[in-house]
Amino acid sequence: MAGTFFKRAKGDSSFKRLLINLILIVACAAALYPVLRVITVSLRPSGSVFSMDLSLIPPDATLASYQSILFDPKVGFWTWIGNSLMVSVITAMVALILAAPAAYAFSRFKFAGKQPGLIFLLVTQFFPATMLLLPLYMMLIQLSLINNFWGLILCYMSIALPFSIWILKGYFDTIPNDLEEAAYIDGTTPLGAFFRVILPLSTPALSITALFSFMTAWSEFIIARVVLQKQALFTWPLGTVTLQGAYYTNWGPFSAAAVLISIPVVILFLLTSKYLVSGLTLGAVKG
Amino acid sequence: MNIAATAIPKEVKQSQRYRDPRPFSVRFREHMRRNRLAYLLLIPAFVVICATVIYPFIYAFNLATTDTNMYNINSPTKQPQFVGVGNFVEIFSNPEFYTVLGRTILWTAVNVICHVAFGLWLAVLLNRNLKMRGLYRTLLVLPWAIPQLIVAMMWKNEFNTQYGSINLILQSIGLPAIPWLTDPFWAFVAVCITNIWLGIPFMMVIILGGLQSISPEYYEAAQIDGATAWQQFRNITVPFLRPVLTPAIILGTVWTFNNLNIIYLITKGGPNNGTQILVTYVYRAAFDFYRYGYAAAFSVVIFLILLIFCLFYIRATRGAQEV
Amino acid sequence: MAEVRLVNLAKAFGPVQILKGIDLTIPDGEFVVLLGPSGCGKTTTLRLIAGLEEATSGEIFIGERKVNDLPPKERDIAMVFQSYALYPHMTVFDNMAFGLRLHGVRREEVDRRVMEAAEMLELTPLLARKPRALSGGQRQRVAVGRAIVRNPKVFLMDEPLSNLDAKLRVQTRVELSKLHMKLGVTTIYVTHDQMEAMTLGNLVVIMNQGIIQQMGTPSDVYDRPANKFVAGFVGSPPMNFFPALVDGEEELFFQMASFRLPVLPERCAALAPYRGKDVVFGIRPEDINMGGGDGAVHIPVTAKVDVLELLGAEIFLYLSSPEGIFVASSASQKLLSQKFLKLKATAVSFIARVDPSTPAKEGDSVQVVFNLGRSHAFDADSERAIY
Repeated sequence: MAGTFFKRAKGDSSFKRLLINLILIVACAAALYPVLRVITVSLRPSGSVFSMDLSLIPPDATLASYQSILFDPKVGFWTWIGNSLMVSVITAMVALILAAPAAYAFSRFKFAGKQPGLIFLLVTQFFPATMLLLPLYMMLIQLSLINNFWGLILCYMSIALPFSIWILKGYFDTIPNDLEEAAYIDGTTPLGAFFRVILPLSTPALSITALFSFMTAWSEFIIARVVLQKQALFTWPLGTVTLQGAYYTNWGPFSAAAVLISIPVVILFLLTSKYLVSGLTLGAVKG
Repeated sequence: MNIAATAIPKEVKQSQRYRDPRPFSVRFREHMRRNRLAYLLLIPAFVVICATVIYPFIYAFNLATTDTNMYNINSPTKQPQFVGVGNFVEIFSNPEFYTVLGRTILWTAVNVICHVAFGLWLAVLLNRNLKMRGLYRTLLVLPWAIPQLIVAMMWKNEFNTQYGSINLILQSIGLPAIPWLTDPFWAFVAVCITNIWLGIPFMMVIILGGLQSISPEYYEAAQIDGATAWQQFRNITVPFLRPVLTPAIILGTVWTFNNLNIIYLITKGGPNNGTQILVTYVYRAAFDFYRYGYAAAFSVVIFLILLIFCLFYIRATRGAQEV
Repeated sequence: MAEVRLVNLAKAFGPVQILKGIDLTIPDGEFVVLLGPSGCGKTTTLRLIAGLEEATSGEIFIGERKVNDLPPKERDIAMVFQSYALYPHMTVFDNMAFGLRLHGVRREEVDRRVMEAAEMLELTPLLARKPRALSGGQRQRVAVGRAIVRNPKVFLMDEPLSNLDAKLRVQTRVELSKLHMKLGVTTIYVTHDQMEAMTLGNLVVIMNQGIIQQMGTPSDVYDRPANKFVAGFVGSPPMNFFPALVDGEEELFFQMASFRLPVLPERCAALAPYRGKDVVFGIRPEDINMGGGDGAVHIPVTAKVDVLELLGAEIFLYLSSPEGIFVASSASQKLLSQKFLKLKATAVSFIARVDPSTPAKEGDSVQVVFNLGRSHAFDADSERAIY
């Protein structure tokens, strides 16, 4: 596939190749620099946060900020992480359990309202955050679900569920119909073919979809801020922001928290971004 | 040979002109028998979507016609009043709406154009045999991978007039410090920079995927025909990217138009409302000023603007493809 | 094992009739091939028997049971798909065992039957592999294995060889034949490849436009095609057709655009009603040979060699007869149809399949003989065979 490009690159003059590499290095530096700066700030001792120093590793580097984030009981870092984990895992699991059968129905059947349903799922992407958040917020007040994880999960479901259905439908569309037919002949019912053939076959797609729901919920701030108002229930985005507020002048602990939280998410994301893209374009092209 | 008789069943299924002559009750029963499983599979998701999307969606329209706010929503003495199109009249008669709308369009245009331009540029550079290609790609995707809250906070720190590294760098090369977050114009520039930085990887990855799916044979054929690099880009790359770019641009536009995080977290729409876009405006109206009815009406307006944009865009690109 | 019987079976997708009411009885233990061009309804027929589609009308019997309303799993059938449809996440063993487990077969019995089938198909060393790690031919064998472990009443095969390369296809064809002889299970095999049909089938059913055109043994359909479609579809290169007028008084002739051929005395009775009418004269390429004729059964015709294809064991000659003189007897002259008059001006082209030692060259004018004993004639309107 890349044949021509190999040839083309070989055909590039060495000056051109140098230029291309140079541009890419500058672009990478621009992508990386702000991230490195956070690490720099997190390594500064609390006294020199207002340093005008531009070196990436401060001369007086210390892990004090990390220590205070991780071990200072007043900070509540572990509570936030626990809360975030609970909300995100439940969101991802519930969204997956609901989305997989629905996506299968969208992929394989010709039921009434299929086309409008699919378009509606796509249109939910056009909603400004407040469009659903505001009515949901009022519903939650009426159901006394404010300051309740289930209330937040309900809100996240409005984002994660349409998205998961859309992505999984795109994946199921790529599975040939023959497989189910072979399963029918082997002796399953249509539902059995879904559970015994299609679902096991889709494990990678299912885990990726769950992961994306998880990451959406994990990093979300705007909705959590509205639904959760009690400190004890804060997810990490809410928590870290209060950290910034409480120690307004102190970026050290905030940066340390940011680094700690980002590392696992960034790794997960880099491992899975390829699938997200193919899922998005697959679904969108067909819509 | 009879063309109809040799058509394959799949094509037949798509023909929608045909009307089944059998009575409705017979067709209905057959439909239910065939699709019973589909409805069973859909019910759980449908119930949850009804509760979390459809009901709130309808409720939003309903709310938009009332003057609901924090003080009358759960008050024993005051009730929210029906105000009809009152909220919409207020929105459209407020000159600030047009300022904010204009700024939102500018914000969206600047961001999406930069995302596509830089994304395309980087993707084209990356789409060749480079030794460090994998490393470049990973590093370039990084901004997308970091939670947006952290991105916003990170940049807010860098834009600090005194201690932010941007001003420190500017000063070190002899330029004056820029009042990034205190001057409305510079604050707008600052949030744009942040969001452009944030959004390039998405476009780059999508375009790179599109580029890799173009068979090299087309370029070989064009080279044999003597096409220049620019002609190849214009006549092969661009048309082949269109099916990937169209949805990506629509999604990118919608996401940028609705991007609450960056502006809200960096400037909260300030200073002096100078970075306010429609979604931050409505979020503040709802959750900082508690004007629920008004905010709901505002949300509906934003939604309709986006919907109309997308319909036009899709029609325009379809038209271009047909020509 | 069981007989399969289709009674007036029809299938429509919306307004389009794919199957227009077919009647077919497949005797127990036979290997029956459904042959036809794409879109002729052969795959639909198979899928109806499998229960993957619902019949619009008509009945399907497997053995004594009417199976119209039974789901596939209760029909006691097994199917080999064109794509093989192996479950990609299961090993070869699990692929073959899946159906047995679903039918509640005991574990030792599952193991025994899978091992037995694997042995038969030489799959034993591959049992732990996933389909992804197999070659095309191996996948095909797994698909067959999955069908035979079930020990079903009927095997259904939907173009199972079409994804193999030419050499492997011939090999596997023989294997399938042997397998059928060994197991003796009623097999219904769909293909568009006439070579497969002729070599595999005890019986060949030729379909077109949702209708069964002819059912018979391979030699039946080749030597005694029931109509022009079957005659043209079976055989490669296909049978040559010449529009002809039946002419003459006592002795009958086929008057072609540029030459005439006598009707053999034993055919005269059949053709008598067509005197003065259009028919289609048909003759297979191998029944046209080089050389002079004996004047009775082997009639010489002069023709020009347009293209010569040497295939090693034989030569295909693409011939055209020159625009010869057209003579019709005065009695029938006035009966000549408009259609026929138009045809007479054009040269007639046809194909002959001859011995490779034939000294013909492209551009040569040659004498070929038509072996009238093996010629055919078809009604011009109904296209049904006259003889």
